[in-house]
Amino acid sequence: MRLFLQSERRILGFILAMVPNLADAEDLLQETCSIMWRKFDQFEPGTEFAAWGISIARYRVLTYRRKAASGRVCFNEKLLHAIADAAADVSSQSDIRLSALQSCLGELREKDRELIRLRYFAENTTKQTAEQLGRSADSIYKSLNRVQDSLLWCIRRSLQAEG
Amino acid sequence: MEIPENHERLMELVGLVRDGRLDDSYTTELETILRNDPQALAYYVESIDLTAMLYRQQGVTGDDQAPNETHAITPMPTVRKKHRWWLVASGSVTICASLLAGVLGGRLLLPVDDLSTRNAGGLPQTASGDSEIATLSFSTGCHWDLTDQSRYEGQRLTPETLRLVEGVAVVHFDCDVQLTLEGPAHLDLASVDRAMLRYGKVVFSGDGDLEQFTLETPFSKIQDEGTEYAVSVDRAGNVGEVHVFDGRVNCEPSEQGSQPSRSVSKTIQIDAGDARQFVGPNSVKPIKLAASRFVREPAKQTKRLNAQVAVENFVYPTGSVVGRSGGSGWKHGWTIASEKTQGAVVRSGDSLRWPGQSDSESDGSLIIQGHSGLQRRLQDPICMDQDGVYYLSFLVRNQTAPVGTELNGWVYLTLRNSQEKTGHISIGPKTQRGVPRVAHDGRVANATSPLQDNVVYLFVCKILARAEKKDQVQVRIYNDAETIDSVEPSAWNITTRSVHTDGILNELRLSAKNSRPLQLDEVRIGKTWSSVTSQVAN
Repeated sequence: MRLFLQSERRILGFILAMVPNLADAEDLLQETCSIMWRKFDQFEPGTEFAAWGISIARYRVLTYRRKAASGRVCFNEKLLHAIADAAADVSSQSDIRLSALQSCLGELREKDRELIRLRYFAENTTKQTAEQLGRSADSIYKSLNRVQDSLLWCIRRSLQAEG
Repeated sequence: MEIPENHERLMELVGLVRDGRLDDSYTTELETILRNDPQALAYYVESIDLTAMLYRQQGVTGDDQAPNETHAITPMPTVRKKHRWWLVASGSVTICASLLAGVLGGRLLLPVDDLSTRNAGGLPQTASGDSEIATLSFSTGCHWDLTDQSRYEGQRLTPETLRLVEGVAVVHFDCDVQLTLEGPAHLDLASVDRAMLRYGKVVFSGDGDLEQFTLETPFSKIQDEGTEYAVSVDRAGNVGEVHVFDGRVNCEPSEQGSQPSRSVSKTIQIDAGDARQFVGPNSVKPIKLAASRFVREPAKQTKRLNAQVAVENFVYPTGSVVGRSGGSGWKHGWTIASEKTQGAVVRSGDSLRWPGQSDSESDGSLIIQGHSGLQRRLQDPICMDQDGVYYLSFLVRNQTAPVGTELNGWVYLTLRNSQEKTGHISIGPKTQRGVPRVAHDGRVANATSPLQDNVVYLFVCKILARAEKKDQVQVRIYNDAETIDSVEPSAWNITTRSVHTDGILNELRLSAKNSRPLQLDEVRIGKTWSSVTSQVAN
């Protein structure tokens, strides 16, 4: 159970990069977790659990893409593979990225930190966040884009500094 | 660490992913950018990873932790906002499903602005209204599980799980099948023609002239042929019973391939008057029909007025209604809209009555004609900015126009805000086109046929108010030869286009222009179907 809890964030991040739709990504995460449970005896102790889950997720996403090809627009398979490779690479740095994020959150301005708190930690939608702050949803959407962008560059700088 | 060429646009597209608003055209645009720019690809992947990390940080802010303290962030307990029946239903082993549910209970929770949902058939649908498959049309004594969403009568339902602890609830599917759920019970709504009873008791009723409805249980799939039948499943999912009251059902082995041993080996038919018990693997035996163990048509047995918001029966002396303040749920008496308009008059002792309605329930009615305008303020307004359902009903009769007059005007009952001019809901039993009409925030819909003169009609207007999704207004018109539905119907005479409004409707206005006499009575506003129809229900 602990292995699952520790890995699910990484797996979801991986899936979401390949399937940029939250609901679909959640569904695929569920399917992936279900498969991981069923095939748990195939997991080799000593290897990385999340990486094993990501390999299963990758297969599930490709299967999903083939099934959904006639309906929802998906990335083409070549791009999917490129995203999967990049996402797996990013995921392998999960610990250090998480550590950098903690640090970067602390560097945010108070009002930006409050924005992140309301949107993510308090589980509000962008619209609900806007209502709570008495601002327009579009304004919050843009602010969140800006804050997340600054967090991303902060994390990048942090990783670069650590070599 | 180069900046992607389309950095600004990429930021916006990532924002759309975060908010669940990346539609097909944006996906195509994103794909084009990612295909042509490795820096953009790296930025995108890292941004999504960041988004996932932020969701995972529930309850942890940057200044709550030392910079070097990492990794062991325990997710806060969260209430899942989405329930997917098929996830658990597809679990191969009970313990596995339980463990998996535990995992998913602690998984990332993704609040999105326009969350797509997925039905059991795997078809992506949006939550803006088009994924709704049924209505919670009646509930009595209901206590819902804490993890369940808040439930209310009239609520539209998507593919989701109903977790009823106690009480009786009626779910009316859009295919016109009705399931009466008796708690404790868990029922997964899968699609417009499919549901799964995990445990508890359900009574099915539906017409057989449409496509079959499939009710799944842990032991079988039950398909109806114009039936009324009941199903019970024990909490462990090991023992089930099927009792057929009318028609015939087919019980097929469950498709849970992982549990073949728990399914009966072949399809069996159960006819009206028969019942079967399913016990353990491959065991099915006849049992005595026990109709009394199940709740059937609870709404017909329950007359409830406690959800009424306001009532006006016009129990006044003959004369002007202006200044009269009877009824209940009103803030003040009737006031006239303008000195230039007439106020409409009360006709004492001439109530509009529905067949079977006792005389004592009303004594008087209102005659609106010519140019009239009057209004009355509600004590409890209709809040369109919150999730909820309201019903407005009234009895009405068009009177024959006096000989020699050319009165071809209109009469409207309008729920509105006394200060604002938008978001009104107007119901016109008499319009210039001749057919009843409904308007909601400027969106107009008409009935297909006019009201006949001197016939009493019951109008029931359902107002589905929603905080996040679009609101909906529907009207059902009954003539006095029709039977009033005991729960709200699946078919309506008039439905306006859905529109998002946030108005606080605190006033009922009656208005007429160049209209021949129209008699109005029994105006009721309530929060349940039965609260506005019980007084006339057959």
